[in-house]
Amino acid sequence: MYSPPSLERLINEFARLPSIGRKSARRLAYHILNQKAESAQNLAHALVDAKDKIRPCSRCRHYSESELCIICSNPRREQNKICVVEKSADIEAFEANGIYRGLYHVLGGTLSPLDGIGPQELHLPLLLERIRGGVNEIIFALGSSPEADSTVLLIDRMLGDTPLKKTRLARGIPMGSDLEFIDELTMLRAFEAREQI
Amino acid sequence: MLKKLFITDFRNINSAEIDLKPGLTLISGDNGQGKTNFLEALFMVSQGWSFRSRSHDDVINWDAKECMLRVQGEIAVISESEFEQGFLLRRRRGAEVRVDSQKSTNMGELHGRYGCVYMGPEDIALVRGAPELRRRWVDVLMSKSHPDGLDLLRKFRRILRQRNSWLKTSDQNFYGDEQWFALTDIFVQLWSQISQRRAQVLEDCIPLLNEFYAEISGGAEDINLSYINGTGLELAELVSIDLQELQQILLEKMEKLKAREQIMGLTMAGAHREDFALNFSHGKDFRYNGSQGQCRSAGLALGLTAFEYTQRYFQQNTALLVDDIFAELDAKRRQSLANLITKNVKQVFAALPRTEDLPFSSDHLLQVQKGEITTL
Ligand SMILES: [Zn+2]
Repeated sequence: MYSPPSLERLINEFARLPSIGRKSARRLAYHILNQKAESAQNLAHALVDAKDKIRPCSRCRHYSESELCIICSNPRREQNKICVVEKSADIEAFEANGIYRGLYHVLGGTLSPLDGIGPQELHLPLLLERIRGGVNEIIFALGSSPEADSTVLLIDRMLGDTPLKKTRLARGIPMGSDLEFIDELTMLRAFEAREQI
Repeated sequence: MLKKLFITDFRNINSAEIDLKPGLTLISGDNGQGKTNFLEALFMVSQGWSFRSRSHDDVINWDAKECMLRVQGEIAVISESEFEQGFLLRRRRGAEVRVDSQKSTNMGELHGRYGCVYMGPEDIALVRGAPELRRRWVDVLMSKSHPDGLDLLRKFRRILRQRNSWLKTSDQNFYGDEQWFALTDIFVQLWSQISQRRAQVLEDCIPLLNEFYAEISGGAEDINLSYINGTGLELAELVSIDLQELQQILLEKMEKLKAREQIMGLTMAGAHREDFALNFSHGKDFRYNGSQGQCRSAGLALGLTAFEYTQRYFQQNTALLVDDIFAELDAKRRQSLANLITKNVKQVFAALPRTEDLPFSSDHLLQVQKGEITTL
């Protein structure tokens, strides 16, 4: 070890982030050291602040600073439509192009017994409650992995014969691809060609 | 035609640059010197996977951190065009793949440009061997004729693991029936598609299989194939049945197994348990009613069928790798196999310990000794 302990610690922390290897972690750490003290403080602040203030929206589980997120508390959004996504970041992809004006629901994963994720872990009872409280269209945007497919089926079965229009984004989105990385045009096409379940 | 192979730290081969020629190239050397490694390198660089191991790390030389393979060749369809592809593997890291000038990290990119078929001792035992070997045989062909084949198999394996995990450990009380259905319906959808594609491949193979079998054995008996997936459907029915209908049949089957599966904590039917059998025309199974010789001949015929099937798909741009099988055959079968190969194959690489085992003369000779490859 050639670096002082505090530098080493910073590198270690960076290296724990996703898709950051040892080399990049070191580069980031040196970058921070070369900057003014103020910008390091800003960064530290932003980290703590975000972690402190942000929690899941009590209705849709999207990241939010208040009880209800920006989308849920906007009265101009269509209140009778819910788009079900896997994670908060997926919402960004929809909002970026503004094609959708309804509400969302963030599952936080897909059905995966291997990872111990079942209907409880996905907060499905919360979703069911929302749907039964006056929603008439539900759109699944969960990708096309087998786990996503069985999650859609599971929710469909749990809903029983609740009268509801149910659609899912058209396939065409390659397997394993994250919604957040899909370009707008592909997203638009998938959205417009959604399939009835 | 494959023209040049570059190897760095692949298994026991540290470094090699080999000119590949048309016709028959014989690879000689004692056992354990690296003959199969050479064939594996050729296979892996052209197909993107190894016929011997699942983990990419296995192929990296023990003393090295990374290995590299590269092949150059010519694809002849209407006119001839040069191609080059290869990969770099680092231990415990992903692959760096290059196909012509395109870079990627997906070994699957290597697959589908140039055909390569491997025939080894386990092919001779294919008829009587484990069902897994026969599934692999048909799946390899399916992945060529059906572009979505590999994706279906990958998804199926995934949902199978999820389903087994659910049956074993997960909470089955909370919306248990709904969970069972959600996992089983997707499972059945994938299974039915795989079954139908496999059946299609097998049906397409029957004429080729009979042609090769007749030439190898000189026998007059016909071979039929039957598909074993627990539905009782004949091969031809499986090919033509409406997919929805097949899914319904399979779902009913799973419903019958439901109680038992929950006790066993295991999925008890599915694409991972299917099999096919070779039958004589009077309906009896080769495995139990055929002689050792008949089974071996049928195994060789399956190997050659795989080659011909692949060659048709790649419009002749296919190499055959034959690993040490001549020694296991009697003189008559050895000669018929040799004739078939010289007649049908433009580029063959055959590995065997002693050159005198070969019933025909080779065009080129490579010698492998402790991972060193020399052109003789
Ligand atoms: Zn919300």
